[in-house]
Amino acid sequence: MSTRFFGKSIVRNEDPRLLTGRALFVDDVHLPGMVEVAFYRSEYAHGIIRDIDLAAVRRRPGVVAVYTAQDLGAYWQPGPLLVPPPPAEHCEFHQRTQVPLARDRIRHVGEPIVAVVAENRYLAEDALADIRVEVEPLPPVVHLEQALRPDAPRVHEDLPSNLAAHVIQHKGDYQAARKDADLVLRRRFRYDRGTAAAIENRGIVANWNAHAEELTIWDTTQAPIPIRNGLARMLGLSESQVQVIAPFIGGGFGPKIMMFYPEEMVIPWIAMQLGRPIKWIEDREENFFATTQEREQIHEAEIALTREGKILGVWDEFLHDNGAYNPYGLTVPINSQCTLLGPYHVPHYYSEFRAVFTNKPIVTPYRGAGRQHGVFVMERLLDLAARELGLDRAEIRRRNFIPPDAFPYNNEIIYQDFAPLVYDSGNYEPALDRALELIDYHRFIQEEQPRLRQQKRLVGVGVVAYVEGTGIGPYEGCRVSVETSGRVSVATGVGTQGQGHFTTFAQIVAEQLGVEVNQVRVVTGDTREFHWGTGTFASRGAVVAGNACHAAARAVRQKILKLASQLLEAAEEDLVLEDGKVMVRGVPGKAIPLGELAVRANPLRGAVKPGTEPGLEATAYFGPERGATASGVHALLVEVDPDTLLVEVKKYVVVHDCGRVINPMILEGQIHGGVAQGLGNAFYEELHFSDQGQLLNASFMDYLLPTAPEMPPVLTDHVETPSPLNPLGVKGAGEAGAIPAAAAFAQAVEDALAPYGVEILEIPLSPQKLYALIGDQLNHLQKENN
Amino acid sequence: MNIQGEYIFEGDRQIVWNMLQDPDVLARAMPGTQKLEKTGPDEYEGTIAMKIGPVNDVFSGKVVLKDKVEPSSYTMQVDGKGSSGFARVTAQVVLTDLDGGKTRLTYQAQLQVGGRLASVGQRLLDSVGRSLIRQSFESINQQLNAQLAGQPETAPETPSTGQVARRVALDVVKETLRSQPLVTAALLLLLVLLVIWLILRLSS
Repeated sequence: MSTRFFGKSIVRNEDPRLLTGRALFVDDVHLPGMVEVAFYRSEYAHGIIRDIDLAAVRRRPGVVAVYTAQDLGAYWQPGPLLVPPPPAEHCEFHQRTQVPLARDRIRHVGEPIVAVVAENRYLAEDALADIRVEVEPLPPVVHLEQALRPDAPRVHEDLPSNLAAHVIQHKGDYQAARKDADLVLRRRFRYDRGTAAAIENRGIVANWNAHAEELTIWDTTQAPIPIRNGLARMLGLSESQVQVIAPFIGGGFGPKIMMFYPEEMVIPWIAMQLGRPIKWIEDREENFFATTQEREQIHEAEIALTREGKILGVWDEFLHDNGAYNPYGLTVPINSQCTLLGPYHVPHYYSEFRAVFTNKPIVTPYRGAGRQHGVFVMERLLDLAARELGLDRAEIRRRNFIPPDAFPYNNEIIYQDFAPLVYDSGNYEPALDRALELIDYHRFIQEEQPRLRQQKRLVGVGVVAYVEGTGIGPYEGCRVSVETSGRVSVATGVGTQGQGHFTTFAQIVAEQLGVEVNQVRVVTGDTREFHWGTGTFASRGAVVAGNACHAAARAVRQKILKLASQLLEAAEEDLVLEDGKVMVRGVPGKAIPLGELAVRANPLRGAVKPGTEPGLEATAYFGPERGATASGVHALLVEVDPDTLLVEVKKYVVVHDCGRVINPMILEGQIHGGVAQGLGNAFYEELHFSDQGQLLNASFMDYLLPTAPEMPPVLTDHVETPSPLNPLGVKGAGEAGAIPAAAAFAQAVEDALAPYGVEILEIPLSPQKLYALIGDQLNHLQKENN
Repeated sequence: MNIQGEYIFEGDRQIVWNMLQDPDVLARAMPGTQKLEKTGPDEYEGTIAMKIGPVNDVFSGKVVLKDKVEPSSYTMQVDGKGSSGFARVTAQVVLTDLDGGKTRLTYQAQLQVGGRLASVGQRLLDSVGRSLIRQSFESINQQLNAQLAGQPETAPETPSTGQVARRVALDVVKETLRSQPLVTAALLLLLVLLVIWLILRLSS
């Protein structure tokens, strides 16, 4: 199909607004009479609140109101469980969700206890110093492995242990397959915590209009519609009385799909109590405690292979850290469990995990959402196996790829969307070949690396493959209208946090209606504009909302063709939509502009025929039967400084298959951002907690983010294997850059440090950790020599 | 976190012991102390201003002395609370006789902190804490010397926050120099080069 807009690198519709500072972010909302909130948060990881003394803070000038859990009365309820446990073969699940304000117990540092409303944020924050909260500290559960010991303190005193969930899934019979193996490898892997560190922290503005009886909320959420529905229910309002607007948002990455955050429950309630607009903007320090994090897991994993490197089976048992509460159910560990299988044919698989409660901030999906753990474990096992078997790292992957004619490919376990994990389509070898070519793999291994090693330089290459479950249901919707000006307006329910939806959705619609992309105005994330939908998560915007836009645009196209065919007295097949006009093919001058057609479709006089609808407008929904599986290969070259053990990434290659590409430039941006977060996770970022559950590096002075100078040149290329599950043939791409980066990085660094013979079994790495690894190895060698 | 160290006082054990129990002496000695009062046997309450890196706060709290074996050992527990967090210190203090009528004090302190003090101040806590302890002991030793010399009890001036901070910075530099002789050498070399450069520049 020849396209004008779909698949083209069209400049973004939203950029003029963003680049000139005219885009509205939550903190840009200023309302007359607005007051601001600051939260008094727990300084202890675990404890019992014995007393709260608010006498002094209430007297403080500028303080408007002060609230504790007691003041919330019946409104005080634990938040909802967002994702119930999946129907896996064995699944035990204990639900404990976060509360609006801590009442008796404190379960992690940063949990809000008191909300102070003052005339401005300065006064509100100063007022926190007047609050006295007497806490009886309890011993905290900090380390993942200690959480399940019988003598461990309990995070939730009413549960018999800190076990939050126990899930087993399997395919085939691993133990039987293992007996036929030529090689069985077992290792222990660890993947530690980080924070998404979006450039914009969370924020909420709420305004109760007592005359109209309407509540308006501006929220940095990725899920405005569920927020509206939930708040209406909690506050006893009709859904039509509540409007939630998710305006421009400076990065979501998953933590902003979490709901309801304590602040999200408390602030709208306070707005209704006070009858004044109220604002809360999270500061960076709060973000380190109060916004959800990811991703501590410890895996004990085993792989069984033949001499030729064919995988016979994989066995994996892991622990997953939930933090103090589990509102997001099992999405993250289920993703780890499912993504581990990767693009490989694994005939036998046994996977068992335990999710545990700890006295640390809540864990919910953050870009990758557990997928990187699975990829890390599988790719490391393959690397170690290749070494044992004397195989090339790229070759062992190639030998195990699911062949292109095996799709749809059923993995026989349940995925995060509760549907069987069936890969819709894929073609893995061309991506591997292209990545090897772009990184110049064979030349590097055969010529460059030996030459540089002669000069005592520590250089390495990494190449890993992965899949990414994307674009899951349930559904999204879209309304497309042609206005009398000839411009087109599009509204959809998903929120947008920088993904370029204002352009990609416009491209999809423009393609159908024959207008320029900049003539299509897209509105996202405003419940007044569109109020059906779920949200932006799981790399699903382009797949699910994109196809809804496509369906709505197709329906409008049909209306246009029908009306134009009457007016132009031509058959629909002979009509062409182009340049904002409907033209009759081969008859120059016989045309009608879309704007005029819109006027004719919505006349002020005369009749609209019975059985037809006015206007050129349509609403449509799209829900895939299951997620579309994207895939790809990452490859990189690194050099390790032998003195400092700093790692420099020399070159980074991503060959990605997300089906048909809507806008290559936007896709490239997504990949670059993902790689940056992936490399941050691999080598720079790590949250450090003390034995007392205190976060020790809650500022950008101590929490290291990669910056532009650390970023290597990232080369991208695409393989297009369309998804058969949606008309556009697209798959998601939002998390692809981040998911395999740590696995690729670990492999490359291990390769660079081959002279020392180290094994890398954990992420994040750091120069200190590499130093310890090399030190261990040197000690070991010394002992052997003696 | 643990901090440990020792200090040698120029007086005998009993005198040192007495001074360490005297809130007036302690209030003058501990940098930043705004007040310290005896509220019961072996119990004190007070407020202290402290600057630990970006954390600048006034802590109010309680000091309790336990397990006292006069004049040789005791345990001191400090619970402090400020708007930036809390600190709980448990310190075991041991006094031993030295030749020449001197006394060696060794301490082992376990430190628990929470709030901003932990999340932002943590990395500086060790060096700042050690410096504050050293400054306290130094001041007590001065008071002790004055007492031994039979001088009237002239309270040494309570240092300003700026002075305390300056001393902390000096201590940190000293520690670095001690632990890293190469850095010291490099710094000296740099200094020499700077002087030569200055001389050359001035003479031209």
